[in-house]
Order: sequence, then structure tokens, then C-alpha cells
Amino acid sequence: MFKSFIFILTILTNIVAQDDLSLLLNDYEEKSQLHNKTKVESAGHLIIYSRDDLDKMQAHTLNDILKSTRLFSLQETQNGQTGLQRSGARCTNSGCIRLYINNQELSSITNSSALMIFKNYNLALIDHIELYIGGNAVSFGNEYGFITIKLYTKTPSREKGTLLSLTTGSNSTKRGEFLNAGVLEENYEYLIYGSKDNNTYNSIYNGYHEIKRYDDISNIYLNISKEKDFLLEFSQYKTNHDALAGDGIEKTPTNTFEKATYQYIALTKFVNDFKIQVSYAKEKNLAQNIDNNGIKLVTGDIVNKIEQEFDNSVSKFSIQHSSTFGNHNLLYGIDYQDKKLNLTKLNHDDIDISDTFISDSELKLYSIFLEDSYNINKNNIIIATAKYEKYQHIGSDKSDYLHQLRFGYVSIINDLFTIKSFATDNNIYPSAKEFSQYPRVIDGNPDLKPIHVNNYSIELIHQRNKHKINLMFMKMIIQDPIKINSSNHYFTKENIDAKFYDSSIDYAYDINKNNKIKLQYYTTHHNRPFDASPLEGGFIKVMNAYDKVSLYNELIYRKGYISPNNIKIGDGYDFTSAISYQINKNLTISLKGENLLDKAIASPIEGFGPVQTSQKQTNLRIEWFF
Amino acid sequence: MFKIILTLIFTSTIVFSSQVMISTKIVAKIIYALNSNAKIWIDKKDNYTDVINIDKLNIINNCTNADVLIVKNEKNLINECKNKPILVFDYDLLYTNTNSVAAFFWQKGRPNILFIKERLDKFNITIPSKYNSYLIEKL
Repeated sequence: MFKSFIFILTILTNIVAQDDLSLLLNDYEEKSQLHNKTKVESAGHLIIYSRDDLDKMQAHTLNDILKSTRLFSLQETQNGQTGLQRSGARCTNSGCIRLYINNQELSSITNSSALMIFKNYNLALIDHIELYIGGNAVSFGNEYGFITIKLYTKTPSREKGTLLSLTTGSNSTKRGEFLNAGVLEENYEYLIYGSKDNNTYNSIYNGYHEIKRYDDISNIYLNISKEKDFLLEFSQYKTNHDALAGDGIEKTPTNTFEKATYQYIALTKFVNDFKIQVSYAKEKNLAQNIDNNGIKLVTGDIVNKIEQEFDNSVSKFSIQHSSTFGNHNLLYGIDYQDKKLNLTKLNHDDIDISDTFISDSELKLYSIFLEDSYNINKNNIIIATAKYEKYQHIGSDKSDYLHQLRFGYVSIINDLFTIKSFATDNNIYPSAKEFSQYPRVIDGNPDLKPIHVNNYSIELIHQRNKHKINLMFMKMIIQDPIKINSSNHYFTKENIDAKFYDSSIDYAYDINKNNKIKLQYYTTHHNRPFDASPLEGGFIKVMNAYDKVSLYNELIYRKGYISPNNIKIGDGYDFTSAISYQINKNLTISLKGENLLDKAIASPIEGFGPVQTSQKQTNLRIEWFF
Repeated sequence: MFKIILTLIFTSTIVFSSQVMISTKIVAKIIYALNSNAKIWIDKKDNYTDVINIDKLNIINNCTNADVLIVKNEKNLINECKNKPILVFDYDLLYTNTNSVAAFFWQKGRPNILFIKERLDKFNITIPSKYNSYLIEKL
């Protein structure tokens, strides 16, 4: 008690002792935060992790942020891929998540979600993160996402220097990062980033059979830009991780892994009120599955080794324009994507069977959209969005025509209360993985139809002095979702309406710039006969800083459940504690313990039961900026 | 009408204007700390529209009569004014220009203020002790 009293007193003394320039500087920093420029309040229910938040949280990878996201749980799949599961559901399609770095979408043709490649994306090059839930704004991209994750890279003119960091920790974690950013002649700016991660986690065992767990990543990112003119980006991201239980009958994999290389070049150009984007991305995926006890294929055959490699590409072009007419602000544009699926290797027991692969080689997506933001008066705005999409398959000559509709209402009731509400009518197009057919464990189905999703949500935001409360209610109806047929092992459509009802409350108390408390709780009800992921969750986050010391403590809760494959998952309590000390103006040392209770929400892995996929670990990091 | 749209959609514009307002106050306080009655000369006024509101500062047109200079580009300085205390907005310029006594700049994603004692002494300037936390001996 006495220690707490001294601590609080010290904080208060610190506040009082701040001079006028300090207060102005703090205010300036807060007002200048880049999310103030990039956030789109009307795009959905928004969660922001500012630069200051990321620093205080010592968030070094994307996982550190996503694991506490309202209405989502971070769990792994049978093949060791990370999925961000929507409360109560288990998402197998990219329609669940859209991931962007600046304006470039990081999508995966082969995998169903971009997170399966980018789950541990390093955040040292990221300034801030915006999460949009349930809104699906058309201005971001041309496909639906229940949650849109937007990462924004640091602005070189605000960095101006070089960062070197080294991290070492339990589980043999080793990470090195380099960042250099600056301003050239004529106000051209550049950012160079490189990182290398090696993570070896605790093995898991199936009886006496050891499954080694690891995750190796390398990332190179470069950009050159000029404010209000253009942004040119290049990135190469490589990952290699174990495939957890694999696809074998007995779940006894050996030398089973997934490797991916994702490269892109992207240009965003601003001309008057036009925003033009051109990009080209290549995604190379190699998956190897070896199980000496056999892998049973959909055909009934049993093999011991499966190797498959894809070398895919996505070309994109989009142009959008905004203009104001009276009380209307119009945003309209076109998007074009050309997705090429290219199988380069398909072997069973080292025998080439690539001629059995049946899939369209190319999918072209054309879309046109219009968004009208109509200001009824000073404090009330209506947003209406319509998008029309054509999915054209090259090969089978099949085309599908879809629409995305959105209606939003934002009302600033008074200085204390704001309401945001959205009604959306969307379609999720099946992925190439779900369409394509070849002898594998779960086969695709070329006859799949798009999934229809309706979402209705309302959020009440109350802000008074240093207190902020968000209340959100959401109803989501998924018509005829895609599921895996349990007897024939292929993707099929379920003729049902899956209904989800979500409620959440968030409370934030910003005592001052250095001391903040955040609380959250959410719960979901649904009409399905089983829970496919946790239905309840929440967190407590406490950030403190005094002089050169910063502290961060976080406890994330996820309620246990019984999975569809009858695995009982216990309640999850993920406790993180971190401390950092600024040795001098150039050097900072930090210590972070993650999942310290070793009770984070587990994943239901067939053959193993609940598997703790979020590792208990402690990392020591030294950061040098000059 | 246009204001309404600004209010609800382009909130970033509003945030930006308050950002400029605060940075202008910061600059005014830095200059006041250097000279409580300073006449200020500024190079190329157009370069500062995104940073400060120069109308709020005591700006004069002739640098020879100025007490403090605000400079972004050294090339804009005439010889007669090269030996006056300078406030800069860039760490590199602070590093290279030995007359720059104070700086307000971004680095590592954060705004910073620095006063250099060695250079302040050269101009016989003493800043209020409450700003000592921004004071460094030399670069």
C-alpha cells in the first residue's frame, strides 16, 4: 500500500513539475500523431494503436497487437498457420481479414488469409495501426474484409536517423533489425528496413513423437516518397515455419513445413484529387508434409509425403477521385486485379502428379464504386456506398457478378456523445484454395458460390475529460458459409444462416501522457450448434512511464469452449509484462515477458487436443538510435 | 457549408490547424526564452506554412535588424546576418550551423526541443532555468 502511495505521489509530482514547454510539446506530439491524418472514422468501428501506444506496449510483432483485438482470438490451425478467428466462428477465407501496409494489400492466393504469412510482421518500421471492424470501406481495397488491418510505415522526415536493435530471449529467439530513414534533396524522403528473426519454440509431443516448432522470418522493405506527390514501395518478406500437426493420419509429422516468399512493388501517385495505385506482387509458397504413418488423401489413397509449390502473382491498378458538391462528398473509382495461380510443383512420394491439378489459372477482378457522404447538418452525416464487382475466371470462362453495399450514419450528439452505425451487405468470394482440385487431404470445389454477409452495428462513444467509453453492438448474418464436408473431405456450402450477436464495452482512462489504463470486455451469442472459437473475451492494459522507465502490463482473457471436433479448450489468460529503460538518448534496453502464466488461449489441434500455440517467453532487447 | 464537411469528414484538417497553432506557441516560447523582446527574421516564408503561423510572430523583413533568425536553408542567409542566433527545425542543420542555438525538430518519431549552451554563451544568452531539461552543453 505504502509503495503504491509513493508511486502515485511520484506520478502526480511529475505532472505538476512539467513546465509550460513540456505541456505544449506533449500536446503537439498528440495532435501531430499520424493516425490523425490517416484514420477514416466513417470506414468502420475503429481501433487505433498510435505510435505512442506501440512504443509503450513494446509491441514488436503484429501478433502482439492482434491477440487482444475485440471480437477476435488468435489461434493456430492444424498446419501451424495463424488465424484471427471471429468470435464464435472459424474463418477459412480471406474475407475475414484484409491486411494492408500503407495502400498495398498483403494478400495470399494460396493461403486463405494473409496472416498465415505475415502473423509475426515486425513493427519497427510501423508508425501506427488502424483496425476497422465491420465497416468494409471501399476506399481501402476491392474485396470484402470483416476486419481491415492497416499498418502505416514511419514517416522518414519524423525519424531522421538509424535504428539498430537486437533481441534475444527464451525459446532461442534471435532478432536483428535495421532501419534508416531520412530526407534527400527536393524533399524526397526514404525509408530502408531490414530484419531477421529466428524463433525456436518448445516442441510438442504426440506420445513420444517430437514435433519441433520454429518460425524464421526475413523482411526487407524500402520506400521513397514525396509528401502529397507519390509513394514508391518495395518489399520482400520470407517466412519458414513448421506445419504443426500436419495432415497425417496419426499426426506424426517429420520435416513438415511451410515456406513463403512475398515480394511486391507498389506505386501510389497523387494528382490533384486523384489517387492512383499500381502494384505487382509475387507470392511463392512451398509446403512439405511428411508423415511416416501415412497421409490419407480425399481419393482414399495413402501417401507418406506431399510437396506442393505455387508461384503466384497479383497485379493491381486502381484510381479514385474525391470531390465535394454542396453537402455531398463523393468518392468514386475503379479497381482492377489480375490474380495468377501457378502450380510449379506437386509431388506425392516424390512422384510428379501436377497433371492432376484442376484450377483456373487466372482470376480477373473488376470493380467500380461510389461513396457519398452526405452532411445533413453540422453534426450528422450519412454515408452510402455501392460497389459492383466482376470476377472473371480465365480457363473455365466463368464469371460472377457481386455487389457490396454499405449504409452508415455518424452523429455527434453533443460534446460528450457520438454514435456510429453501419449496415452492410457484402459477398465473400471463395479463394483459389477452395476452388482448385487435386488429390489432397481436403479438396476444393469449383462449384462453390460466394458467401453472402450482412452486418448491422451501432457504436456509442462517450468521451469526457480523460475518460472514454465505447459501447458496441453488432449483428452478423452469414448466409451459406463454406465448410469442410466431414465425410467426403472437401469444401462445400452449408445451407444455413449463421447469426452472430456481439456486444462489447471499452473503457480508456488517460491519466496523463505517460499513464494510461484500458479495459475491454466483449461477448458473442450465435445460433450455431457449436462454438468454433471463444465467445467471450477482454483485457486490462496498464501503461506507466516515469522519467526514463516505462512499464507495460497486459492481461488478455478468452473464454474456453468445446470445439467442433470435441476438444475442450480451457479459459485463456495471456499475461504480458514489459519494462524498458532509456540508458541515454541513443540507447534503450527493454525486457518483455509474454504469456507469463502459460495460460493463453489454446488451439484445438486434432490428434493433440488443446495446444498452447502462444509461447511463454521472455525477450531482452537493446535498441540503438543514432 | 464547406465548414460542415470539414467538421465531419476532414477532421485531419482541423487537427492539422491545431497542430500548427501549438507549434507556433512552442516556437514563440523558444524565441521568448532566447530574447524576451525579439525581432525575428525568417527565410522563405512559404516554407513554413505547414509548420507555424508566422503572422503570430514578431517577424521583420530585414534580417540585419533581427535579434533571432529562423532558418531552414542556410543558403538564404546573407553575409550580414550570418552571425546571429538561429532557431532551426532540423537536427542536421543544428549540427552543421554553429550559430544555431536552439532547435525544434522531429527525430525518432517524436518532436524535440534543444538549446545548446556553448552556442548560447557565444551570444551571451541565458535561458530560464525551467528549460534546463532541454539544455545540452554542446553537440
